[in-house]
Amino acid sequence: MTTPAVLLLADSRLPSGSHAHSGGVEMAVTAGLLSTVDDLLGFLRGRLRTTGPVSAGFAAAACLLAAGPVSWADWDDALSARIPAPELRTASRAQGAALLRTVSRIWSTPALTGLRELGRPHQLLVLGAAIAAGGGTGADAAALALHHLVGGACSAAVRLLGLDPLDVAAAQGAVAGLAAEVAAEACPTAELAVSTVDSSVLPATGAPLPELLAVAHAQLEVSLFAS
Amino acid sequence: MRAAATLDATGGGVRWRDAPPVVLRPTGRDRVHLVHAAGGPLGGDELSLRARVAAGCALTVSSVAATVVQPGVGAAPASWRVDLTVGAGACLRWTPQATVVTDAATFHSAVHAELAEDAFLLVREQVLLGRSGQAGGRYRGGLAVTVGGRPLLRHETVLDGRDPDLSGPAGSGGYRVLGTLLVAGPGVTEEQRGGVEADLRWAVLPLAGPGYLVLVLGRTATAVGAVLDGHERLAGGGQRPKSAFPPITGGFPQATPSPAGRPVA
Amino acid sequence: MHREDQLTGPALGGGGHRHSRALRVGIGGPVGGGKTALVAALCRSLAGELSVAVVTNDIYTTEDADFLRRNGVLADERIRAVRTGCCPHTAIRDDITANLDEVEELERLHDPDLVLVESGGDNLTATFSYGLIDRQIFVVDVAGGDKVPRKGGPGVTRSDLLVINKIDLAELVGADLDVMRRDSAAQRGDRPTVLISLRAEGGVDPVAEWVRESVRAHVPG
Repeated sequence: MTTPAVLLLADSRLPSGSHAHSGGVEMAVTAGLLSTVDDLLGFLRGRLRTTGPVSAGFAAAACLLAAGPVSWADWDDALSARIPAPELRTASRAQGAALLRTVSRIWSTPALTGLRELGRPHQLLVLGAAIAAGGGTGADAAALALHHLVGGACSAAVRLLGLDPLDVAAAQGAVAGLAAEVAAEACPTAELAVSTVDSSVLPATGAPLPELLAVAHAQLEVSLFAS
Repeated sequence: MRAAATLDATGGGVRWRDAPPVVLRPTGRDRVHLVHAAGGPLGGDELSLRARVAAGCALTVSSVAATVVQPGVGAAPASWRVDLTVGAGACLRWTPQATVVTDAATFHSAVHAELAEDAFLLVREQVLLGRSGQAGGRYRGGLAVTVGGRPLLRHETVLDGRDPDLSGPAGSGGYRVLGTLLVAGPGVTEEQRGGVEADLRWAVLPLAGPGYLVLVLGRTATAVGAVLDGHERLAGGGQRPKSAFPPITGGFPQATPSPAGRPVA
Repeated sequence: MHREDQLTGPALGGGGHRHSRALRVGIGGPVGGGKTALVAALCRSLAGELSVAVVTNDIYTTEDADFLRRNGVLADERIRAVRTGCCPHTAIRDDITANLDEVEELERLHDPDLVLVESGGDNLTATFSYGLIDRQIFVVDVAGGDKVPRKGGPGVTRSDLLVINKIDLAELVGADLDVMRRDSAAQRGDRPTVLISLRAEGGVDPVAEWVRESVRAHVPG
């Protein structure tokens, strides 16, 4: 259900540290692999179909887990195992810490307290727990995780390439259907993972080039984005 | 067809049970070669191998030739499941040759490895999308490694040379060869981080636990293989068992006789 | 097995309480005004008196690090770079979380007296949020034109210290320093303005003195 709290967490104006992360777009642009709106569209579709299920699944699971006592470290480890590139784990944790700082000012829940004890938890877990704090559902969390995955890449592409923001908005709209499908598929798996306390059923899909590009990005002499 | 082979390396030697077309041959003291009898897997085949290395033992499993996956009748995928268990202080090197997924074939591969805390594991995989000139079929490959009960790696990749979303910058970037090398064990590290050459890109990814993953994307199997060879050498031999390892004593008699040779497509 | 990549992050206490005694000073202003030169000059001037750390949002290369290391007498581990994703305003004003992360980490590691936060090069409308810093210095230079103070903007009118730099170039660029002095006073009321040349011997002194005074007056928390 769309409530003001869920909308707050969807708003890119919420201080969450994410404006400095390009979702892999900066390195793709630097490597000459992404330069037009069509390229961006293909990139968004690829991301939604490869890592999208992991994002949606873990955010939804975190939202459901937040309802009761949970060993966040286990789920944090499970997500780390799905992110072999250390640069991407660092980016996830930096954004997790930033979002946690902000949502801890808005809500106080045992789940958020538990995540703070972890130090710098992964961003998807914080997102899920924040949605729960705001009264949202696992489906909301899955949808928001993909909304931010797509939105972050789109705004980075506008800033780096000077793409027409109206065309980019159209691209974002064009993948909305795919995002909805991926989010919907994530929910039953997340429910199963939580009810059986077994993270191994959550998706682990990824793609090789973005992982390679993440390492290359960190080796750049000058970069405008943190990841 | 379905076939499930097993392989055990213990203090008493190496034992195995073939399940044609999954056939094993001893080729050295701690070394076994995998043979896909009568050509490679076809769509619809469900093949598996369970291999266990007991505490303090060592085993290397390789293959004699590339595995060529071809479409079967209908659209069912060929699937290959490997379950590896490596005991305390044991060492397993899993280094089969490359897999070629030909046009119109679909191949699902899953390697699951459970390691004791101080075990050593090296897993090498190389996938080619299509024979030369082909765009290739569809490949879904998974590698799941658990050490001392904790997840070290959960890595699943989907490659499809004909799918623009999956073969673009968010997928395989137009490359048709993917190589990976997983090295897990106490204290394993690699200094290098990554590089780009004319026809390939590679990186070393230190994992959130005892191990690292080398990833290579390239246009030719030779180039990708050479990079993997280099990293395999750097990874060394892993832990060696303290006690002398007795020679391989031979497998159980085959449960079923090998079928007559299947036609090669 | 230890949790590998938790990294040593600041403990996120509830309610945003500060755990450090450091004075945080933001340094903003348009491109080329002399922000980085001011950071280096302050570090050099205050070396030995105050423990300093720096967070920079300016595009940061190893060349920049070398410059600060050579000229600012500041060790590498006391300088952090923050990428802003092409949004220098946002990083110091609307979404300060990434900067807060680095500032707090430097405070945790070095317990400094002073943390300088340098913004990315920007135009006259970018100023720091007081959620990130305690005081801010806005740096403009005469080559930007002597009308800048009259134009105003939050950096000129509301910064805690306005620095007009490169006064040695005034004649060359046709800038009237009296006009700039007068206009600044009119815009800023009681807030101080200094006109300096960082290239001159002791050019940074008025700014360094202001910083020392601010550190002395700072009550932590």
